[in-house]
Amino acid sequence: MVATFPAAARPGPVTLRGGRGRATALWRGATRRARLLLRASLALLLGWLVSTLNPPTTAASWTNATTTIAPTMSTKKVISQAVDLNFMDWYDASDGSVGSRTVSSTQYAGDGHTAGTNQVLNTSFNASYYEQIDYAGIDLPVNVVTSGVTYNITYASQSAGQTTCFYVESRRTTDNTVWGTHGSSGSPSGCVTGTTLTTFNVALTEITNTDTLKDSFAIRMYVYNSGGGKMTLDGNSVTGNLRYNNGTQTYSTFTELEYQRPFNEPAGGGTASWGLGRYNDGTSASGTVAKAGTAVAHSASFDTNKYLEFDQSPGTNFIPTGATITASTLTISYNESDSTGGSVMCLQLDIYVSGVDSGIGTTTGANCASSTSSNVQAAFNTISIISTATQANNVYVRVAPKSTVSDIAKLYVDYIKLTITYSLN
Amino acid sequence: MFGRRLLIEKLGLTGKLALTVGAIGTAATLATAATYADWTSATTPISHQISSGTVTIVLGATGAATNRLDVDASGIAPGDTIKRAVDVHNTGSLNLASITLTTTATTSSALDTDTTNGLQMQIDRCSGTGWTESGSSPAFSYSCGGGNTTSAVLASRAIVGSTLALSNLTATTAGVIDHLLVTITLPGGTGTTLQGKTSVIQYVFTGTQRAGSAH
Repeated sequence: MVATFPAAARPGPVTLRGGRGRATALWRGATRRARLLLRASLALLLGWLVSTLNPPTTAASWTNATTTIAPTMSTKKVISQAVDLNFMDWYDASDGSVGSRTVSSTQYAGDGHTAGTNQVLNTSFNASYYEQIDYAGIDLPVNVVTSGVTYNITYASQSAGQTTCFYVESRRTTDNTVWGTHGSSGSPSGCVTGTTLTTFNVALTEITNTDTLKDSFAIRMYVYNSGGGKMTLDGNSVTGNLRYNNGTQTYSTFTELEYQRPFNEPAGGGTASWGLGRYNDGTSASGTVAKAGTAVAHSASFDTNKYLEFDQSPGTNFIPTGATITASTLTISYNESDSTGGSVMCLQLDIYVSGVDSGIGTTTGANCASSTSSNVQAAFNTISIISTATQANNVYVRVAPKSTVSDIAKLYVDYIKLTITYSLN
Repeated sequence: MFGRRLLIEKLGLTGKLALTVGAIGTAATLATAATYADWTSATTPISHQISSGTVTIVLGATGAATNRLDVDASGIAPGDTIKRAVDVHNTGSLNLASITLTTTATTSSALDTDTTNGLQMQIDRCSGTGWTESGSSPAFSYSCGGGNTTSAVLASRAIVGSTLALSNLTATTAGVIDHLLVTITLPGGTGTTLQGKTSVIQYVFTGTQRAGSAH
């Protein structure tokens, strides 16, 4: 059989001899469109064959899940730890009559006690001249989230017509880290013209954890006085909130008070210290102590009408409501003024809780003082009388001395503190 | 051939159309004439029923002694232990290949993100009648006595995990209940870094059907 194609579509004369040769001849002879159609048809046929001969073997798997349950797991607001509170105010009743309350001049605003800067101030801001307030944070729990931390400063110019301005840095004094700066020499945090005490509240937003406040925390105030005069300091506290639940809820507040005030003024620098502010920072020799004005008259026994009384700061709230107290200790560090030798002074402590004489402790033996140049320390377990937050926040102590020699030794107290171990759910 | 072409050309358009219609009609008539009726035969109908099984697992009633997982724990400290019993019941008709647990923190804190010092979870099973509960909420305690025995379901690990394989369960068999005890601990020695934290932990048990087989 011989087939011929029209000249236009003919690739050339081909002779077919049946079978495979015939199919090949047909393929070669088909138009391009016909070849494409044939290829597509073959592909579809192949796909159908594959799907028919190999059905899917992966079946869906049935599962069922329980209804969800979501209990809340919360840790204690404060995991058990010890905090200290030192007694910063005191009365001298060593002669049998109670004197006026003695407080740090710059502890509390509006209490009638103020302090002037030691020297005159610069007439413009100078990074070398400052008044610094140091805080110990010993009453704060470790590693608790804080909010609303604020520096509260009440001050005035010491002379009428003079303007005193300031801006502040929050700092860590051990390595001079500056946590934050508030205001500047060009834009002070506040200014006071004249002698009217004025309060400024500076938000310290950079302080978010008690660890910062317990780590040699300080506020450094850069100040100037337009007339080259002094400023009057009345109060300088740091306040804030203690938070739990991932820092979202407040459970208590705190107030930190200065325990010393380093300064550097144009005429010189130094550190203003409060006698009761710091443990073991002095004896009768160095003067950073609370001194009884009258020597002990009775050598044989304690006279509880002649004493020094040590008070917590007003409104103390260092142990939060609901705290579980597991330990309570009162510690006193003291010495005596007898420089002639021979006198041995022992103490009786009457611990008042919420105004009631609730417990008595006495020092004996090595816990009695016989030196003017070194302190002795005595600690008393007070858990039997101080076991709730209310009790811990309402304590004052009267300390009555006796001496082996009459009328030659006065009581000097360096430090007195209450240590509470607590946790808070 | 020349003659036919000439005839068609002479027919004109109307003639061509008439010729076409006639051809189609003839073809249709021939096709009709070629269709015959077939003889057929069918079997008597017969049928069978095929029904599927169910995969369902449920927990004990929320808040009851058979499911304390909804009970919160507050004020925990390092060294504390939280115990919560829960029953897992296979109420479906199918056996299960596995039961897994997925826990997520819907409110997250270091308690669940700190996988070393944060909350740790362990699950145990008590056979037979299950755990005997004592104490008062939320400080439950449990014992597995009366001839019942305990077996480990999930070894202690960080509290949050996805599709955790659970061992030694019998509730993989349809109709069976497993009595489980979830024990959560906060490791000691974590200091104060985890104080004041809150996490909300969500538990979901998931059962997966047995493998397919001939039926």
